[in-house]
Amino acid sequence: MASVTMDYALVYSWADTAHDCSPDFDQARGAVGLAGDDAAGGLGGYQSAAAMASFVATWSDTMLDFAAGTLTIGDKLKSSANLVSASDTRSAQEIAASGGDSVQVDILPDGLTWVSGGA
Amino acid sequence: MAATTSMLDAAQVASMWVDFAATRVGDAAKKAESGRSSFGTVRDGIAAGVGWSGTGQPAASLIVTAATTSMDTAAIRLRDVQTHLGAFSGAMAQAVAWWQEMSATLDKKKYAVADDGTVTLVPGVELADGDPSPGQLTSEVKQILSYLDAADETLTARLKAAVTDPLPVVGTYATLTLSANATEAWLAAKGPNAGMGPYATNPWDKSWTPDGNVVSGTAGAWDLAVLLGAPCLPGGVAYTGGGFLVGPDGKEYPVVTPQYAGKGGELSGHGPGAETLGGLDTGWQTLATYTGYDQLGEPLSTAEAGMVIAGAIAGAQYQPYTTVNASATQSLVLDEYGYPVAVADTPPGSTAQPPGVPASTYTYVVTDGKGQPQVGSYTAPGMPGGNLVAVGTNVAEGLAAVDQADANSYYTYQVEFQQNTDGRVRAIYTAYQVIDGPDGQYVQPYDVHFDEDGQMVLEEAGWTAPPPISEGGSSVDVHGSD
Repeated sequence: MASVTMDYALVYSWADTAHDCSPDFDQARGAVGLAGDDAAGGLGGYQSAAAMASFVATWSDTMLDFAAGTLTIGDKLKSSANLVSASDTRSAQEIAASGGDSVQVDILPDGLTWVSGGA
Repeated sequence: MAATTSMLDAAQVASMWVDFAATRVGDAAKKAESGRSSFGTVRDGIAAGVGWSGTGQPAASLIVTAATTSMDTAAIRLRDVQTHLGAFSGAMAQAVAWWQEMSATLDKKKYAVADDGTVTLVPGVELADGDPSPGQLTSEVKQILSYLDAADETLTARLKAAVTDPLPVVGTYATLTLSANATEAWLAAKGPNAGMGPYATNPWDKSWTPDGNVVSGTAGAWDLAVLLGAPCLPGGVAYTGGGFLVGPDGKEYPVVTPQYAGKGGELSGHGPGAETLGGLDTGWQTLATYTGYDQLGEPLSTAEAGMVIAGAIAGAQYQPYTTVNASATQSLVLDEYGYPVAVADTPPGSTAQPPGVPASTYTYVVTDGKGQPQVGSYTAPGMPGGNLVAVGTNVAEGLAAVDQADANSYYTYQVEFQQNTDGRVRAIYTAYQVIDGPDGQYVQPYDVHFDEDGQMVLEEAGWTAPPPISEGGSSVDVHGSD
């Protein structure tokens, strides 16, 4: 049994923020691709053309990884908060009285979320 | 592949496309910065451990912290590449300007220009007096082409670094190496500024001195390092200098003196406004400043010292009009703009000892009063077995003369290592000597740079607005300060 203390409402908000970052990196990926198109028009005949193409390919992938990574982090935050929320035995009145502050719960580790012992 | 005149003909339009690409990469950087800014609130919340503690929080904290570091790295890399593309676009535009200027004056009826830049005479045409030779013109065209090649190579190397250096990765599993990998990529991206950042180590060697760190370079290499990426500057506003210093971080810095015309029109390299050329070249920040006292010029050779002594023995007077005051030079106090404001009562720590009497054995040949040559030798005082020869008084005068001549090669120096937000770097190197002259003591500051053979070149330094003399020691007059 593992013990966790969490303000899961706060963790939900972090999960949403992490999700919200993903489009930024998607758009960054798009901009890198457009840079490649423009550079192709200007670097014809120059040795830097190949290096630019390599840069565009690598950084498009990197920005894609960032977009996916922020979504995954948001998902894991949300599922961790879900576990704590589900284990919270307080009544609605008690939660309202506490102002939504942290609750301490005991969790059975299953390795599926951070809260339950996952990496 | 080497640049050609066809590429120069097309470079104006090409430059525009590269500029567009730079803007696109800037847009990508802006988005990465926006994502990082939002994600930073997630990192701050989780890492603080306030809303979440116990099971899972350490792993989550590690992951979001590494992710934020990686987002920082991505933004730095993308901004760098934006700058590099912009710099290359600028270099293309510069090459086009030179090429167009040259083409406008090239008589096409006399000269033919091949794609590789070789200029030949049109068959049947003869050169008139004053016409440049095809060889001269070829050299000029090839200089423009090699400038473009050098810029192309620089861009290539920079783009490769953005791909082959450690890359930022957003990991979603809290592995043991996640944090170290994120930090390694950040350090690689941050470069010489790493010492000032949140994940930084300090790579700057605190014991650095200019001695042994001078790298000579061609004027072309220096031009490229200083001007590639610089904004277009109006005529008469420029940088001078030459050579490079290997900085305390192991990187090469071109040695530069800004030439800023402040009030009155005098060109100054120092003081308020000078380092940004009056706001025309902004974005410079000083990474580190090194000051010290050291022998920067060439010391007297044994032969030269012997000649000075022989002259004294022969009765020659060594009475220079002005003399360098080594002790006062070592004790100079500089303000934030490098302006010498006082001679300290107590000398600060220095990186070298002031010059002493040279510990060498000299041989001299003089002619006595009867016209007969006399050969003698002595070992300078301070060494065991010092053996001053008979003409003691004159030898002592000779030694003093040698000591003074050697003192002339010692300076207090200040080297500022700077980096621009667009990636350019430079070193501003100033040296100072306190001179005792017939009208009193004054400070002579110099801007220092190096010629293509690595020899030190000193030019009188100037300040835009000399400050009032401060307290803290004996005040000094400064020559060449306005």
